Amino acid sequence: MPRLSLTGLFLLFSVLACGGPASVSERSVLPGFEAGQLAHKRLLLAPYPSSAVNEERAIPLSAAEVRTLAATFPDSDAELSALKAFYFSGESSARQAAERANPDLTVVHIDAPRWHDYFENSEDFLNVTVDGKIHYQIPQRALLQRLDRDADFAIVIGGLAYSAEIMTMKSDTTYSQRRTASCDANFLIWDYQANRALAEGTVNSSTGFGKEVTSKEYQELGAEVITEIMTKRPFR
Amino acid sequence: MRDAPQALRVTVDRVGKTFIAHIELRNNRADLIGERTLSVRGERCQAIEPYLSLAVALMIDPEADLGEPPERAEEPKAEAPSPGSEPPAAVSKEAAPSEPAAPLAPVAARVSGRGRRVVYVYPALSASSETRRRSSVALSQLTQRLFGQRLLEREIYTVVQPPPLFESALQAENFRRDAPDRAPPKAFTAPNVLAPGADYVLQPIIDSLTVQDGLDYSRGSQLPLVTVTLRMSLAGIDYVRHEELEALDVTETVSVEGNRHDARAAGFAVRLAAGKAVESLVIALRRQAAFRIRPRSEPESAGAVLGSLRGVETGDRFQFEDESGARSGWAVVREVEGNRAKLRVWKSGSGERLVDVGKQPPGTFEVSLRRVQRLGYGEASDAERARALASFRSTRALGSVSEYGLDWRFYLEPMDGSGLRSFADSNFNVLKSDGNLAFGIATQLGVGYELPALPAVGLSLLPFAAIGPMLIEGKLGKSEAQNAPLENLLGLTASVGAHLELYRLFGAVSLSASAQFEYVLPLYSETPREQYLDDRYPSLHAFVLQLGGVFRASDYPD
Repeated sequence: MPRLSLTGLFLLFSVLACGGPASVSERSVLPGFEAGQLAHKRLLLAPYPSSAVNEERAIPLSAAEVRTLAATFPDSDAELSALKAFYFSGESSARQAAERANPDLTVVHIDAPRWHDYFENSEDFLNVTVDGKIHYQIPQRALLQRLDRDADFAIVIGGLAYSAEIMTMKSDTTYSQRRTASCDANFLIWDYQANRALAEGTVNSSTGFGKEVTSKEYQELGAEVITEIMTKRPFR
Repeated sequence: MRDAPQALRVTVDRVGKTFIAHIELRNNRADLIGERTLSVRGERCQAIEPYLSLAVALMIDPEADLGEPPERAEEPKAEAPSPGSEPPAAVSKEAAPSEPAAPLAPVAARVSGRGRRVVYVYPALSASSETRRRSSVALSQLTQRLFGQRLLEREIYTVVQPPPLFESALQAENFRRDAPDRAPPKAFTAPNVLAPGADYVLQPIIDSLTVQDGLDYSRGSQLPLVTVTLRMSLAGIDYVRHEELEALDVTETVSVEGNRHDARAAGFAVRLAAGKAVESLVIALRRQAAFRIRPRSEPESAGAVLGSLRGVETGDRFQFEDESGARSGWAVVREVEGNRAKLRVWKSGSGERLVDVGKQPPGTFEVSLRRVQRLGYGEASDAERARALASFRSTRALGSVSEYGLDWRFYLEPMDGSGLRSFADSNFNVLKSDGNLAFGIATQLGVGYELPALPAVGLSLLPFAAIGPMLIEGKLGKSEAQNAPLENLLGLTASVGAHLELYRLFGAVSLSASAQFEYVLPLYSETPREQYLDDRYPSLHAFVLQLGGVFRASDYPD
């Protein structure tokens, strides 16, 4: 049996920043719907309500990182600023996904200064649940028209749960760490014309991080969640 | 005049994991005078029961009384008003939730119950001007009344329902900071008549209230709904311990058939949500020392009675606790009538309040591997042993023998996912697990007595006691009302039981059936202890029934 050498007493750490972001998702889509029906339609990425963020798995950013994001949205408090940053990174990836899959699909968003008007009255939303547990706030079309953001379909996020995990792996005398930030999101796609849910599901996106989760990785997650939603049915 | 309801018809259907109740109310001409449809998601139909009882109460009495108004149960002694006492203030008639607040008129505090501890329950406050606009004085008072009724059902409190003391939640919060060190409030029940001083003060707060149109696909249809989401918190002061109560909050979402423009449907849903929120908060209050369950003695029945215990079943166990938190004595529920339970008190010690310990242990079944070695025989002579060895241990050669032994049991048990094993927790419910495995090792020490049943088969009865570590992989339990699930639990098991063996039925393999009571003392879990009452993990209990083969390679000592 080999004797434990002196070097064995030193723990060798290496941090594995996992490559790029990755996602998985599960969804139910109404049968018979073809991606071609999205041509020349408008798709709203509905603003994310603060109530959608899981209290126990809140945004995994340090106060300094949140302040960085808050500088971009001076009209909002720290938590809402972070949520807006998450939304706009998703909005940008939604445009790219639409260009790739459905060039005739127009992505519509709600400008940050108008979020207050958007969320002002809870009666402007339809409370939809598919499983009796997750409730989605579907903006009524009248609200969108008031905000000059009419749409034919909407992606609505009903739940956001974040986590940041550090996994330590040991092989002989070497320790390595894998640091992963992830986000679980529940989404629903609403069809305004048929006045029904077109699809509903969950998506998990993750990305590696270094010493701590920064706004860069956080926004990567925001982009990845929407990319994952839009690269599969009913968008393809 | 409204048609008096004469007939009530309730049907409950299941669609997927959703229970849908349809309630119809008819007058004496059999005309339909009201109907409601409710849906609740749950594994068992009991999930819809609390909603259903509230809904029926609200339909029978749509003015939202939800029971008799508290009567004056006792005349408080007249006392001169003190500088810190409350001025008489204000209530209004019930109004629809979206209606503006009615003008306030002076009323006195209502006192009910004859319990030793006095609880002041104030009307609910709104957390913000937005919430104040959406809710109403009626909802505020309904919440107060519901809290009062739920506490009265415990039969151990005197409940005082005074008029509002504060105008805003912020004002109440400022008051609470210094309140534990001040004299408790006293309210007037009539001019110059004071109610007893408060031992505890409860202040409900409506944090948010939304009334929306809704749609619930889990009901299996696309009926229009009015969906109410009510977030309510409860703050309070414990004047006995001079401390602020830990703040509690719940969010309840309730949907009923209709739309938000239908004032009756919306009002009904709001009241239903308020009832549910109050019930959840009263149950959560039991985690706090001041509101632990206290039984009322009933000398004639040689036991005690618990009032208003939702979810209690025969066989549930409680432990007595005194004011310092020391625990002594046990009580077991022997009979449940409605929402009252009779207790068999084994020993009360110095404690007067009860801590939930657990349900009656559920039956379980285990697959295990045991290695058994007999250490000696009690009565067999050397000649008998030699004969037994020569005949591959014929029991006829040995006759009856007594034995003692030590064995080690390795076991691996699938949990609820396969229905083989489940545990009871200390919070009323059988713990749910999903795909968990329990595995461990137990060292058993037992004695036995064996009779020759067949020429080559002995029948042994072996009582035993065992102890050993157990690891439960995965999550055990749920966090529906109070506690987080126990995750990856390491515990110490202790069990007592008996094996009944057909000794060496198939060559070296014995057929064994055994029953044991198992107690698991949790030592470590990845779930923080702070998630649990008094920072203690709940103990687990189970009956384990075993049936299987036991390999006895060599039963004869060398």
